[in-house]
Amino acid sequence: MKLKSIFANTTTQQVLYSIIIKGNKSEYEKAFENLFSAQYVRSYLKDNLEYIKSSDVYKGENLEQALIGIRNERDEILKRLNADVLKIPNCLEELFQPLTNTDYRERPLKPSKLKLESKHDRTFKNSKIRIYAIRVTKNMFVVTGAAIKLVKEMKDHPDTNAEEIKINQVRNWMKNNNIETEDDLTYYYEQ
Amino acid sequence: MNNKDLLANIKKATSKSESNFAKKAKFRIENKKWLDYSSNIAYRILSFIEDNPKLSQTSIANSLNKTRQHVNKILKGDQNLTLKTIGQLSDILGHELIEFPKYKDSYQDLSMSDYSEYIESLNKRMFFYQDNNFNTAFENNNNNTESDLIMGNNTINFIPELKVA
Repeated sequence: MKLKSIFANTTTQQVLYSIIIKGNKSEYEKAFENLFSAQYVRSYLKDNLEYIKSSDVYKGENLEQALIGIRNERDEILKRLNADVLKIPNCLEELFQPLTNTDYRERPLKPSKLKLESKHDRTFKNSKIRIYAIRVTKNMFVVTGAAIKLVKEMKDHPDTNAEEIKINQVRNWMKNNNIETEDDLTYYYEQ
Repeated sequence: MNNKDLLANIKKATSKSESNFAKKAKFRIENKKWLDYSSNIAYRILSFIEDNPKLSQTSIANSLNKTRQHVNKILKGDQNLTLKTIGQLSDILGHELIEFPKYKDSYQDLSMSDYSEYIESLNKRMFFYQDNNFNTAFENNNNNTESDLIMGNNTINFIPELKVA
């Protein structure tokens, strides 16, 4: 495994890494490569119709609506998470939230997720894309993967279950490589 | 562990290969409109291929005189397709892939002597709705029987005929 820097901003001291498990591409890049492909997303939904039917995530939506919804959500993530946005202080802290909704305890290498939500409108009420990450310290995250949400609980679908396992594997790898701190790193670029 | 050690460890564990994702993301944001058109076309082609066993990426490639890889890129929905290619694809699939929205000329009644007359009639209708509420217009023009309405034979004239001076 290796880390790869995806976006960084030296002024606001924010950096988004992703993990490389194999080859040169990070899990973040691989995930978006899939999300960029109309063919991949359509096949993925069609292959998982049984899960979709029994879940509330896609309630009342047809395939076309789901495809367009995922596409718009993907593009909104690109808008909210890019090199320019990193100019805004603490934007990563605001975008990522604990993986488990109730897990607000501060702890090292905390599993996190990016899930589009808007308090002001219902556009992304049933958001379907999840970006999984580990919070190293304040404003520093390592993306471990992503998924198209099909079911409520991660363990209930093989792909989200695999993402959960991967988060733990990456956490262990980071611990073994001493990429772990109790403190929030400030001014780390000047160190 | 102090910050210095942590940063040294991060550096040691970081790949030297640079990500060009930032450029890709910027391109996606700036070109969303036509990329959405492109993926809309891709969804439709995929759906037609699925329903027609005679169609495949290879057969489409052959008909287009292109490679299978080229068709694969089209199906990913990020190709800036030419009108010529869209037309060819529509012919191959036997279905139109794009439709054109109606525009001003689509509504022009050629029985009217000139365009200004048409605009005038539209204006008069518009003013009619400003001056009269919809329910009044409905009641005054509803000559249908109850069974007509049930059977869907209603011929309610929502827009009253106006005499053009």
